[in-house]
Amino acid sequence: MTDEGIVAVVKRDCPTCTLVAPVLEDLVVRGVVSTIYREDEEDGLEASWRLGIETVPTLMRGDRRIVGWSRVQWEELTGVSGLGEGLPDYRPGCGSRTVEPGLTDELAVRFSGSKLHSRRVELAELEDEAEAFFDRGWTDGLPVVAPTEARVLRMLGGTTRDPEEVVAGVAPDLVECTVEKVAVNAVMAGCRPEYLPVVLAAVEAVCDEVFDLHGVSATTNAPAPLVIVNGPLRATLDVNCGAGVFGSGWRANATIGRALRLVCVNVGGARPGEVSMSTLAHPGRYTYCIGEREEASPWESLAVEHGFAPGDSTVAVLAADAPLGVYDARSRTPEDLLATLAASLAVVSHHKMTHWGDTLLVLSPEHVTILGDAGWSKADVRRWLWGRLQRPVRELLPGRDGGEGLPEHVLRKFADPAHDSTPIPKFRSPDNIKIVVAGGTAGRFSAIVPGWTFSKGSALVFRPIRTPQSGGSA
Amino acid sequence: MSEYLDPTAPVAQPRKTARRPSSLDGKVVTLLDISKAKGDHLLDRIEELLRERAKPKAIVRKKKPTFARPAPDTLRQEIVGGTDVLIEALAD
Repeated sequence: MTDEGIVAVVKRDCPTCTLVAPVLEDLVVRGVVSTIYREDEEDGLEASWRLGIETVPTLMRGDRRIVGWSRVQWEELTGVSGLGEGLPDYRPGCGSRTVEPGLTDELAVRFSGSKLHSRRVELAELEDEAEAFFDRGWTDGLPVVAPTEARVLRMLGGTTRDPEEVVAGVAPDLVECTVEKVAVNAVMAGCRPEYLPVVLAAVEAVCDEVFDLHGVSATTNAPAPLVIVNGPLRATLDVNCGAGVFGSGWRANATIGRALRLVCVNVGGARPGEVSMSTLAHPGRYTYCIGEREEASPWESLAVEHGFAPGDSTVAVLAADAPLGVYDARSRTPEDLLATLAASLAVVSHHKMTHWGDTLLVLSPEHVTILGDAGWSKADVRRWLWGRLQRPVRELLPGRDGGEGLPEHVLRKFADPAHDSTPIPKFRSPDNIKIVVAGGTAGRFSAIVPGWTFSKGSALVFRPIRTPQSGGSA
Repeated sequence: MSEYLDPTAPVAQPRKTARRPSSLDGKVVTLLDISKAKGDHLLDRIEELLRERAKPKAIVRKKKPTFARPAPDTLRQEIVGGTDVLIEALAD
């Protein structure tokens, strides 16, 4: 439509449109204005909606738009002088019909609903939406927001990505998941449209082969994807990074994590008790999303540590157990505090499990201050913990302090394991101890979030969040 | 009448299971260990019983690198190309 030369958009019950009607008719006769779109007619209304008109009259050529009547500006745009003789120099316009309350959503469905490819599900008037969706197995057990076309279209407004674009193949069914399908599930989870890019990034991240969503979804173990948000979007979207960071009450945290879960179930097929056979699971399988409280950290953020710029917004996903709280109100030195944390890290998975992978340490602002004020870097902390978390072979034998222990192929490397003092690390490398700062400013409580990250298992995965503002195909 | 969008993805055509042989005699049987602890104990016993009760042409033992991930394509292709019967087992 932008190739049409100069076009105008008007509506009947706008005094300014009535005022300039003779001017526009004259410009059409002179061949200066190619088309007048009238919002009172269906095709005119559709054109106005597609052009994103908010005010009438609008006179436009390509990206150049003049709203309302302004003789100077109209003459400049048209190149015709002496326009609207006898009219005032300026009159403001009126609101376009496309932005009338209640009509905006309807127009979106009327003019772009056909771009949605999902099967339509019809429910009778007397059917209860919440019950109907639960009965079909499409929920996490809690009521969902019914995904009407209008709501899904509004959700898709949160991204400029094509609804048909395939985001990833979601395990275990490995079905191709489109942007539209993520949007449908994001509506059901209660997301706002501006959260959609975060959910899309999280879906991409869990579908990275490194994350091993197949295993995460099907294992008898308990992991759930924990989504960690870094960067400026935390503030824009009000992602909780502070008090009660793992708890309820924040829409962004609650619904972003929930949308990811619904995608895993509805698209990936990870239905509990069918394919998803976790013995116990944990409440993070409803939703599990936190932000890092970067402003309270003496260190670079988790994302910056992994190569992103401070201005980037990212998600990281970790296949994770429930958080284990660590309480230490009396430590005042790094060594004391880290000894406390190490003792809790030592029991991750099992106290004799070794060579573990990525695990998250969530330091509260009061705890991290002890480390930062003493001049310790994140790397210092990791090295100290890793060094502390080593146990001699003789303490890791199966059948002593529990049936678990070093596997037979490892034990075979030692001539006399029962007396061998070779140190075996709890974590494969210091880098496997991931650190974020989060939580309220008061309270000497930190948490350990154990990863489901044994050898050849899952690992932490990052994805940048691409918003319409960050440019590119957001 | 209200209309909603289906949140699930259309799943591929349901696959049919392969035809089952009426006898294991003369067949190549692959025993696939998924790498869970003690899976080999179970498969050792199955191999014993197969040799006792049937006359397979060969019994091939294969192992997934880890139980936590699907079998790699190369392993799947080896199995598809080289066996008549597959028995996948785990113990825990």
